[in-house]
Amino acid sequence: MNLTGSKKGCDRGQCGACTVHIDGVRVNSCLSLAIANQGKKITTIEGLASGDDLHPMQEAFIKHDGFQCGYCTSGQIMSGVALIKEGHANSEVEIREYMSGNICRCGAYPNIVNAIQDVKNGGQQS
Amino acid sequence: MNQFQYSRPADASVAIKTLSKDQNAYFLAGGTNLIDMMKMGLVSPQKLVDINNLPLKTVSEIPGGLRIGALVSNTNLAEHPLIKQKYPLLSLAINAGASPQLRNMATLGGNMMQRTRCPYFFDLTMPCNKRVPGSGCSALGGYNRMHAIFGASDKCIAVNPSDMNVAMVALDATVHISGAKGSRTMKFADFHRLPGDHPELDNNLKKGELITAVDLPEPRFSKNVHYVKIRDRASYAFALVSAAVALEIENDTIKEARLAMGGVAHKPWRLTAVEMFLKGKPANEAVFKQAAQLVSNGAKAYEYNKFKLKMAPNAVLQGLKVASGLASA
Amino acid sequence: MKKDTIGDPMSRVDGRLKVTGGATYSGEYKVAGLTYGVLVPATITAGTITAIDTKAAERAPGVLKVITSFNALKLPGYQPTAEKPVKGLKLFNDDKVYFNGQPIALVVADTFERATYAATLVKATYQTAPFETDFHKNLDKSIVPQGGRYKDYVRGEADAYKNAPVKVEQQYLLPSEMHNPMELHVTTAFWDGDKVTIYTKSQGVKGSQRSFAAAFGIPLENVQINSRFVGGAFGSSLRTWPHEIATAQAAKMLGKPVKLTLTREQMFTLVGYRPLTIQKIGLGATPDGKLVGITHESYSQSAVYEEFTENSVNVSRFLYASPNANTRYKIVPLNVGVPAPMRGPGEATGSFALESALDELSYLLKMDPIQLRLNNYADMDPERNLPWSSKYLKECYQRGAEKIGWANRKSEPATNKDGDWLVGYGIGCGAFGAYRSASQAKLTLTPDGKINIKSATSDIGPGTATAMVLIAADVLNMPAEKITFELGNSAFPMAPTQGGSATVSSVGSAVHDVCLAFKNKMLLLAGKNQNSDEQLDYAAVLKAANLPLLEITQESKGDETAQKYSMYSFSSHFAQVYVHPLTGMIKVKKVVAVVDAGKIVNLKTASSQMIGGAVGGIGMAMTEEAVMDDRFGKLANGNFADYHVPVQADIPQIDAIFIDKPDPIINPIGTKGIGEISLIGVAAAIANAVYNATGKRIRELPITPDKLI
Repeated sequence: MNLTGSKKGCDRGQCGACTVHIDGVRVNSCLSLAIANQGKKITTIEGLASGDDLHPMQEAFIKHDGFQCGYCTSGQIMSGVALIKEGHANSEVEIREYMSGNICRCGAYPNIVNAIQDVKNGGQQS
Repeated sequence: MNQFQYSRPADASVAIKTLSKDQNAYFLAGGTNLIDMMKMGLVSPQKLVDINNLPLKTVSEIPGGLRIGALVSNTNLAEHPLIKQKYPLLSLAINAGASPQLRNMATLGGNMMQRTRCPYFFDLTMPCNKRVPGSGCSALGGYNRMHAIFGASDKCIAVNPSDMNVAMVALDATVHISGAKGSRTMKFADFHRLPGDHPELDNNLKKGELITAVDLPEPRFSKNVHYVKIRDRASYAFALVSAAVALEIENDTIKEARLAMGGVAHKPWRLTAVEMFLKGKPANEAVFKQAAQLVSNGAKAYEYNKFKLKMAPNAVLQGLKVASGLASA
Repeated sequence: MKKDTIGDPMSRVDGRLKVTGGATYSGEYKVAGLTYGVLVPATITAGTITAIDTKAAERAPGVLKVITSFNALKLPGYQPTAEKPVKGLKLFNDDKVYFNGQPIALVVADTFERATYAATLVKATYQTAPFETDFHKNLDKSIVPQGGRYKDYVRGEADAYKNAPVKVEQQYLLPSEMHNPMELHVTTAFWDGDKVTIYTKSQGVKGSQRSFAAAFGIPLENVQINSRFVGGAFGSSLRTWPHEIATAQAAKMLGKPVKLTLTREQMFTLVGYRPLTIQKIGLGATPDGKLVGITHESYSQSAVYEEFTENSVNVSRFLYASPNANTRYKIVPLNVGVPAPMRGPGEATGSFALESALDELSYLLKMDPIQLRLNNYADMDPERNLPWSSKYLKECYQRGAEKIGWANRKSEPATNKDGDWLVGYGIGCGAFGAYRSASQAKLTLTPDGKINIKSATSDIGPGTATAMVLIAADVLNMPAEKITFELGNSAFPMAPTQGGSATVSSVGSAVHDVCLAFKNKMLLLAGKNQNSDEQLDYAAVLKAANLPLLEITQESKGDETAQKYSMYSFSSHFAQVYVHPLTGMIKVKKVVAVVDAGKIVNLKTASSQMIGGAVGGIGMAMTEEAVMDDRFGKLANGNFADYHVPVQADIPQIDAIFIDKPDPIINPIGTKGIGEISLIGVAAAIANAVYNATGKRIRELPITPDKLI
């Protein structure tokens, strides 16, 4: 498929870099078997933007500098998009807890919270 | 990873049959533990029986309680309106575990089957009686910070890593099991085992048996509950110790108390003696402190986990205070 | 025309690529006929390999080759000569095992999964030897590292603190910490005759080029290194690791491209770490808080096959004015993988000890910790007896204290409560050398008026290209959109390895200078006066001169003026923590990071870098510890679940404050560097805040809940 947006950071469900949506639900793809997901809709970071228009979460990550090296970013963004849909982006504390399955070693955490809050407060549908 | 055969039956009896006759077949549910162990070479199934098509994904009210299908995901369980309203302790415990992504994948039954996180269990080059019976316990004289203080044996001092299980035990849940020879039920508290001479066995499920559901009894603890989890980072870490606390308080008196702990034993550890102490007493800090002093009775610590002798009672005390409204979370 | 200026907050030029999954990291290049390598680790901790049975692995499906010391292609650079002895770890070159997990074989197969499976089938037999991994047990076997740099330092009288009226004499422990960048270390190599192309995770493509060329005995120009996007490194990719060379070795033996990806678990043994370090600090002061003596000793873990050293004690020589100061630095060689500099390196280690001890002294003196620091402020460098090129540390204290709300700090520990929680404030400071190396940049103007600049630097995350574009835009008086910057390619003009916080200082200066040279060239072409401020239409000048494009390469380096100054970035970190007395859980509520790092080029990315360093410091203070099981000589928590890096829930909002005054000496931009200083001092700030909150002095990191109940 040659889609390299979803990253391998541990291969064991310990970091969240591989986060994708399966039927709209965020999961660690490293612990999912392809054969067990036949017929399901899998969305990766590559499927988030529509054409040249970035998803609001992608825009917000650029605006708030929610990344440095960029390696965990696909997973962070997929998680952030799902988080808002799950209804757990209601406060800074809640966002932090529900984004804790995505490790960022560069330490962009506060900026990631800001990006998610921006999207949430912008009322933009994800 | 080894090569394996994969099947996805829609009927429980087919799944059970495959597992009963094939020594090296495994049920696959959420996969969060099994796939990890396959990648690490801890297990090498020849057959994976994917049970995700079985009709075990509903939460329904039954006379005198609630029935939860074994394939209900941890997220769907924690977020279920009936659970949040009537069994909030279960929601709190589930949400204290793993990460949102893992909870989306992990199932009720899979969480119950989750194996220990003892580092020596996961390292194929080190002796471990749980992985290779008779090879020895590396944790006993090793890095045992995360290990048991209750009910361990000289064969194994590992702990059960689940948060959900702790709440289930506190809530007096019942497990439904189907096997080739029919169905049976078991108290959740009897599901997991102590290591004794057979640490390779985590629970009392027999080969080929399938967890189909867990029943919760009539809700009694919908208000004064708390789940305390003390860990090395604020989230996404296993418990050093955890405490599930459920109180029924009437006119400032404790009518009923349920206490269970995680991170301290090979199974969720119910504190029956402390519950009995609390019953009928006033819900105040002095009583809670006395109760906490009973928590570590009978505990035994090892070189690196002596702190748990103090942390366990502290966790219970904090749980009691928050559950009763004397402190905030 | 809108102009972008140094100091502006600018979004990353590669932001769009990174948020769309379009940034291509080293393991993500499509290479035809790619094969996959997986390393087989030694299961002993010291000894000799007597035999390796590779038959089962070779028979496994898809396996192309199993490489061991018994069949490996001999690499010229690995063979000792009379003039040049071979030092350090060389894979598959001999039968020696120095540490547990050292690779003893490399299995190559047609898929990663098949190689992984076959690797489990390789069986080695060993002659085991006694091994030592227990740092504490071997402390008495510590040695002074080779080379003169690490001999004892004495200014005035040694151990003068011992006779002071008020003194602190304490020992501090920092456990081993793992870099753990999110991207796994990946290398892909393929050969065309005697030329090799490498995609690898590298902080310095020129350094990588030298290492591969030396190992294979081929000219530099035969080695092409590509490392455009690096998924974090923090020092783990400063050098070329033996397994990277082995990847090219396998590719040569097979005649096929080989990709080798380390597992997360292998990242705990094969790519370095911040070493376990014990430090002894002695501080002596007068009752009114004047330091009379500082003694700082450091003992840290190293490997039996290679010495690793860092500057853990140096800070005690110059950060505070004390008439007497002495330092001692020693290492303990063990059967472990060799450490590597990790963000902030030794300076972060040393600052934790010194700044903790200073805090202890402040309580003995009953003096505000900031006042104690002011009392001993060094107006010039007492170690080298030179003026500072610039130093605004006092401003750092002041601005940080205001922002954190230092006035709310209670001088008596464990007396500040918010509900059940104990509240504390702490400060930790540090310094890191401001460096500048020679660097080159090549500028190309194309007929569309666009500028492209190339330099063989790297970007491990700070936003190198963004900073360079901003510098160029500022000098050229142009909008940033018209400028591109390329890096991570060994064919580009020379640049130093990205480390020691020196990229903007070195490469930024080259970009600055090449842009100046370009401007003058344009003025010349247009027949104008040199160094005039006139803004030209570069495309028009190019067209008028009838040129297809214009290229100009410039080298930039510091001059001797720099020798007359002592040049450092300075930091002052502040933390406010909440500690729960029953559970021992710590909530870091607020961190304020104030730095004097000279001129800040891009406020946006620089703030992020500061925040990131603070997050790293929080990990150092509270969560990170690699634990060795000395019975096996192997880590007991060498994975991402059991080794805890901070997660989102651990981290509060962090304020990054820059003094933002240009250093007049170091380089034309006046920037001193922030990558390291962002972490230096953080751990002490947290530990000192925990003491202020609880009255518990934690001298052994990390500060986990069990230590506070």
